[in-house]
Amino acid sequence: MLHSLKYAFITTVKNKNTFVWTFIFPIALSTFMFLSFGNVYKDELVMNSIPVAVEEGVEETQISVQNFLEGAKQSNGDPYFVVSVLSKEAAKEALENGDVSAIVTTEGLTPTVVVNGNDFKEEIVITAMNEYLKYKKTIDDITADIIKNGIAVESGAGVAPEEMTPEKLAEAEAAILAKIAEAETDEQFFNETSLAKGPQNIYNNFFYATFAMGCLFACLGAVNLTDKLMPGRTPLSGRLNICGTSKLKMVISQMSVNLLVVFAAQMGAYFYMRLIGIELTDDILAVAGILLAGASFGISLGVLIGAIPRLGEGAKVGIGVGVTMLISFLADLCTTGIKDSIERNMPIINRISPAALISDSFMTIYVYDDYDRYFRNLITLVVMAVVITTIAIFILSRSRANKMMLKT
Amino acid sequence: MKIFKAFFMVMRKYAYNFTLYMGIFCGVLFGGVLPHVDENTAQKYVSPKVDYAILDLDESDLSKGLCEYLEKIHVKKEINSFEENLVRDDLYSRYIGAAIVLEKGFQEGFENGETAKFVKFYDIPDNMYSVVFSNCVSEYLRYIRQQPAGTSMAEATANASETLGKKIEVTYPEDTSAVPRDKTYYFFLYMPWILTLMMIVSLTPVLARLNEERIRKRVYASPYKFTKMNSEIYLAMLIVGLGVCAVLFGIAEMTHTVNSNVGLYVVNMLVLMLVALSITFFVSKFVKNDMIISLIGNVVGLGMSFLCGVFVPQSVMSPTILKVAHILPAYWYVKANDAINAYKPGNLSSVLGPIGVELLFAVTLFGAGLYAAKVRRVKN
Repeated sequence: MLHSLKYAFITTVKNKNTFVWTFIFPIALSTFMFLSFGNVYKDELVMNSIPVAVEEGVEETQISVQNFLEGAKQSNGDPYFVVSVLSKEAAKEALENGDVSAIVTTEGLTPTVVVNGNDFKEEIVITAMNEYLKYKKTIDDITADIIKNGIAVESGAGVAPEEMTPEKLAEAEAAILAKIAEAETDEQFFNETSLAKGPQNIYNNFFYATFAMGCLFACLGAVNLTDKLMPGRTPLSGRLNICGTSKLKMVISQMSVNLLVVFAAQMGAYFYMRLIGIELTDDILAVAGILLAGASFGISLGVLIGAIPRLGEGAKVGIGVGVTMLISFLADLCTTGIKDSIERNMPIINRISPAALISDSFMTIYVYDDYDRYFRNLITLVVMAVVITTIAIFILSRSRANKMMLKT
Repeated sequence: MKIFKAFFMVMRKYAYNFTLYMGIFCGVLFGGVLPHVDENTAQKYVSPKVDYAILDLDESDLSKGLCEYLEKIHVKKEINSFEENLVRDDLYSRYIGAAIVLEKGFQEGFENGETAKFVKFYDIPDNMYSVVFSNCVSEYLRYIRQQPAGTSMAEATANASETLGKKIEVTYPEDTSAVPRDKTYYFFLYMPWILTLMMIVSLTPVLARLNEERIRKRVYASPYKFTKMNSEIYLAMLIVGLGVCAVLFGIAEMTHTVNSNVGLYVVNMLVLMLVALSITFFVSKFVKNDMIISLIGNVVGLGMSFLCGVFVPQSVMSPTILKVAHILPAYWYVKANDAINAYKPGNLSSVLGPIGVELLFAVTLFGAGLYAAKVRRVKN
């Protein structure tokens, strides 16, 4: 067995297929992905203070809008908006360059909002300005009411319209606005509950799918090595088929060494991704579990494809690449939402698709408090790997028997 | 036309690659991308809507009013269960941006100032969707709270529905307007990935076989001219490329994906096909190993697509990466695709400019391939 392991190791290391597809390719792809959208989630979807331009216009409206926007605070105390007062041209330029998300115009008494598209940052500015309109209308209504009917200030001493003085009007307005502000800020209608223990960056699905693809590409190395065990392929395969070592032993030693190499390559890719700044979990043990199970499946798949009789190595590699690419795309390699769409319409595919299982396992580490689903995914992968390997070994042993029969 | 014929004889061996990648392309596009395209993005501002799920256990005036109000503003989705584990999955996959459960006693709690005890609000922390949705819920409840004393809950919810509907005027800058992107746009957007990948993976091995020393020396010894040999090879590649484009266009026609500015989209695709062929021609002069060819095909196809705005919109990519992407043909293809999408008669230069740059890439890469072939010939 040791002898088989030694030679399996030498052939695996010399076979560049495994190294290229499970290490170089994921590294290259994750680098492109990171460069392309590595910071999109942080920049676009996480709530940071939104830059807004208030256009110079009617002074009263401008100051009122500016004060209102600057006073809006998030639940953590950070301001919702970073406000800059700009001229019309400068504001337009800032919007075009993406320096601000929206412009609030103050040419008249009623402001308007200018935006570039339909985006959530813009929607938050618009929601705030709707609030502003209501706030402004409340103040205007109160003032009109006071002027028309007089007021009953907090002390209970009423002031008739004919006795109204500017000081008394200001005092009344301030008292009523304070009440409005109190009602607006004091009550918390609900407590937001996050169900995830880690960050929920949906763009990480791309990287999880890259790991899935890397694990499954392990099948290419296994195809190559298994193909050599097929009788009648090359002089070497002929020698291997007539030697005394059992084929089971050869397959197991090839698979073990392959697994070790693929696992090391994938862990290398994981450390590389963390090094360049991709937000991946630091639960190394859990990651190792996923990559080990994923690589086992990839290698088993390769052994099965490699064992298909009457098919050239090129066609087998083609099948390996095609199957891997297709199921990786279905696990969100190129665009998010495909996996979820499958989950809604045909969940069984996600339960058995190895790429979906690998990607889902990564997600569960971040999102779940327990490891139930994580282990369910891993067990499914390992069971599928065992079943596939058994079928492959059966085909391989039959192929030798058939060959021997033909020879006799 | 011996080389021309030999090309197709060798290609038969690699023809399965076309079927394989065409299948993957159709699976990705029709299974994942196109069903999610919203063609109704209007020219005027449309509030982005948050997908949410709500469970009303209280069924009071207030809870019903809130449900109705949210349904007007955002998109209500049904989820299988409000069990935390399942809501967690729906939130992570962004099937919903928030989930809210109004417990029995919600209205009573609101009246007693203890609303939070009767509301379970699940969302994605620090996320724009959550902020927009929670603002909407707060806005509604705050409005009800501010109603004058003596107003019944039914009246208050009716008032809220009417008053909260009044919105601020929103406009776009005078000289710009958001152009909706239809399915045709997305169908052709994915071409840099599939055409480049398919051409490199399927045609490079054929060219590599024709470039094998044994065959090359025989051709050099024959009266075949260098130019004739290469023009026959390129002609054969061109026929394959046109065939692939015809099949892709046929798929688009059959699935009713083509409906606007189709001529320009096809011209852009054909020019990109020339670029893909030139990349293939260039790569074939250096690489022979099938595995490395497959790697190059995947890295170039996927890499260009990620860096040039095929899989992720250029608008969200970092300006530095976009500057680097200028040196890649797929960037100009996406630019041309955007320009075709926004095309109005009389504005052809915005489309022809990027297509011209693509052509330059095709010519340069083909020239580089020819040069490499000539250098090798001289060495031989």
